[in-house]
Amino acid sequence: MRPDIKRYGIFLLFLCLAITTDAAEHHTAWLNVMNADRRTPPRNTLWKNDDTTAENHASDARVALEQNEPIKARIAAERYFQTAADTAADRTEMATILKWALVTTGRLNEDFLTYGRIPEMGLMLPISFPATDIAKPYSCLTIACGLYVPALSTMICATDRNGLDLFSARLLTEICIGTGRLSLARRYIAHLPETEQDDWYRQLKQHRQALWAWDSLPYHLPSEPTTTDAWVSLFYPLNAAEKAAYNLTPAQARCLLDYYTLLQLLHKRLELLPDITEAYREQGVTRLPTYVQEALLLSMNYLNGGVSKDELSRWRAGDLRIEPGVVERFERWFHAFTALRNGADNWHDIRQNHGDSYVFYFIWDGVAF
Amino acid sequence: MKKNLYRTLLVTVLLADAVLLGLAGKREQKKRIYMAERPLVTIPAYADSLVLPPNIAPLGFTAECPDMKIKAVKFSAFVYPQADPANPIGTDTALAVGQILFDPWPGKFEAQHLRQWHGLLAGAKNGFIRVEITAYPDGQPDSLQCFPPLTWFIADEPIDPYIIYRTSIFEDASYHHLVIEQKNIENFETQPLLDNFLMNRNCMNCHACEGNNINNFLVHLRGTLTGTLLARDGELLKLKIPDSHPGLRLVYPSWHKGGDFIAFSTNQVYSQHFSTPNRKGLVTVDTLGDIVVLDTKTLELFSCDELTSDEYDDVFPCFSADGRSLFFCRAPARGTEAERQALEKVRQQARHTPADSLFFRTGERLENWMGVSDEQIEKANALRADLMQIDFDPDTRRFSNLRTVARFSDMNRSVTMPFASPDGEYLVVSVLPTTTFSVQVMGDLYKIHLHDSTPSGMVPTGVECGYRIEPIHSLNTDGSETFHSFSSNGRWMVFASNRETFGIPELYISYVSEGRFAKPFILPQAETDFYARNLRAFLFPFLSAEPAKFNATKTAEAAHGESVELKVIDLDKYKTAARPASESGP
Repeated sequence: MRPDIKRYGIFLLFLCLAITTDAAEHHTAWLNVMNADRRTPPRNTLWKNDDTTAENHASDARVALEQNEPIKARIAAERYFQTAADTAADRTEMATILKWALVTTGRLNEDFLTYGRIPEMGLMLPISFPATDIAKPYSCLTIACGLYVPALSTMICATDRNGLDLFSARLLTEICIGTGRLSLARRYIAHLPETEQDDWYRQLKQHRQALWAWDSLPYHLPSEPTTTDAWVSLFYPLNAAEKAAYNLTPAQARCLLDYYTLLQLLHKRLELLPDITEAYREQGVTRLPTYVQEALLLSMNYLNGGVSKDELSRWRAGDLRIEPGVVERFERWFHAFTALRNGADNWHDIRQNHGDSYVFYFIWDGVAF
Repeated sequence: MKKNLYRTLLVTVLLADAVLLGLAGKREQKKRIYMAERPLVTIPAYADSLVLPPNIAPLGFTAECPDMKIKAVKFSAFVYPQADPANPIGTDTALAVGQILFDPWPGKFEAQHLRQWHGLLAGAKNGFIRVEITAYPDGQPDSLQCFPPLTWFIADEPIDPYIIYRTSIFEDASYHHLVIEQKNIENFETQPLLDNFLMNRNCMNCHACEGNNINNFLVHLRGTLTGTLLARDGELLKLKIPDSHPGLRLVYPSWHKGGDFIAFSTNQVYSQHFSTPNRKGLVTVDTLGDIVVLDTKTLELFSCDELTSDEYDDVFPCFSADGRSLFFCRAPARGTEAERQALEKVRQQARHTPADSLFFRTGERLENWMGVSDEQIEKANALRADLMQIDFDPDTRRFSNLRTVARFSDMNRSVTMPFASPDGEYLVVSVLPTTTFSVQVMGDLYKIHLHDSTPSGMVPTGVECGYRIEPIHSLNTDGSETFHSFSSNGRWMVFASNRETFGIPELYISYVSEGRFAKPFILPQAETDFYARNLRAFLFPFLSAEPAKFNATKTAEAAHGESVELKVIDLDKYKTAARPASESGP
């Protein structure tokens, strides 16, 4: 045999061995799932102990959950169900971990029905309020399903019972940041090791900056209207018959409309703008108040994802038009705001130039400066 | 040779100069302190112009930004000089009367800090203290920043030194560990008065004191040790409702002046959690009940027809300051004509009232709320309580002259938790969009003047109301403000608010002067970073002038001990079992 061929042969042999080993490490998990009976012991750490019992598999599944490794969790949970007794105590917990793994890996639709033999897999979420001893997998599962509130409630109750361990603190921090509860998130971060805190604070900061833009709007809690406000909003806008019934003078009706409009705009009820504009038109008003014009521009921008040029030109041409000066100012604000969101240091300019505008109130009301 | 020597000497001297100059420059750099433009944002966020009692413990805080570390805090005390009778013009110049410097700023206030602080406050009565904070960015201890100072005024009137509150995890569905604690607000000393770890992990709730005396105290226990613990002058007694009245429950209490009577509501509390994927909505708490009164001398429970009507559900009784009348909240009972009318009104208002107005988050589309039907929303919206008043004669134990104080339901609001000021001038109530339980993020505090019927602009024409009503703007936030009570001298009000996190209720204290409320401050804690880490809820605060004569061990013994059966006068409707929860749901 030629020496170089021999060298190539040996090289090829080693290469094949290496590829096989790598594949075994990464993919035997799935092979094992498909061919459970014909499986050779993989080199995965999950199978280090040959004498694996259901308890060991359960423990492996919990570790995999805490380390956010759904594939390992799925394998361990499956192995658990192969070895555990039908009456084992932690079957519900393992089923929850298995469902979390399926959801997280995007395999739920494909593989969920294959677990029909496991009664605990029958329902996606555990019935009623889950026992706190399965709080962690339950919370992970509900978060994976996008249901943060059940996760938050469950984890808080679990920490009341079991104390705030590291995983719980991380999970609760994630939930709080994910749902915009930033002050609360900060308190959980304070319970994490200092080495971890920086990363979380960075996320918090980024999230807060994002929230300061559009995303914060739904989370803002408006002040309760005064009772007079509630009263006004009850009977306005009026139709002609109702106006007649209340016997309002035109000046009174206009005053009431202005009051109602301000009330709704202070509460950021942009969806009422068509009704409000119509009410102004009915009253024969020739010019909309500036804040209403700004609100209309904001409405086009906010609700439609950008100022619609067609809509704007229609408004420019209508009897109650949005004035060019208002449009220009809004556009200046929009550019400045976009720059701010992209990291420009123009906050003071925005505050100085647009602090008296409705758009400024709409976005930054309630934010502590 | 000599020349070389001079040269060497010259070089050495120059080098030495350079080293000295460098060191001096470094020292100079160390001394540099930058002036910040804005006050340091702290946790908790202490405002400028707070009014503090002269016997309060030091207020601790930590920087809100984790990258900023507080190095030192200087408190300087000032007083205004007394006006000279001979020279009535006087001077406005405040005189400095002392200062203390906490350098380094402690992580926890120790005895020596308290001594220094109280020494400073003693000299600053009717004056003010200036708070100057020096901080530095984390890892750069030489880059000191000095922040604009805060001014805190020191009142003349002290606050009762003990505060009693219940602490638990802030999720309302869990009562695994509940503790009722007494804290000395002068020195942070805390003592548990009841701990459910010692009581079979029972739920315990709705405690109340007589006036500002913790030794006349009452709390209900639920679960295996069901009963009511009553303390009279510190002596504990466990009370039990007789088996002949299985439907009777004693819930929200109010002590009569002098301690001879305690009014209770008899509610069935039933909660329902509504939520979106991201937000929890209202926890509807259905409060079905009547008002009954306990005579603490004879241990008799009695009531009257007006307070046990089937048409209405009554809750949150509150005796007036003089004890001659009883305030309470009233809503239509389930399945009655009154409820039907309320529902009809809510349906008519649907055009103008957001269908999800009972939730704290507006603008959310209804279908996003999980498991909530339109009917449930309407029923929850219809559960709005009005404030009522009935006269009470403590000598004859008779009630008379039932009347409406304010029809909050006509204002699309619900009233709850009235509390009378010690001078009898006004009531402070919690006002909510709906229901009568204000733990959720929605309650605001309102003041009802009992001797002023001037129209306030808050009450629409045609709405029945005999008194002036106004919101207490200085205390209200977007969070929930509720569970309020006064100090014995009426100059301080303590209440719970979740304004910091919109989740965890914590205790705030506000100075009261001529019916006006100053900016509140959070209850101080020994650890300066306490509120940066706190995950416990503080609720039901009461101020007490003296410490409790009992402790957690004694209350646990009493809870496990024999109970005395109450005598029920009439109240035959409670001889059947309580209405099931399914009837009471929205």
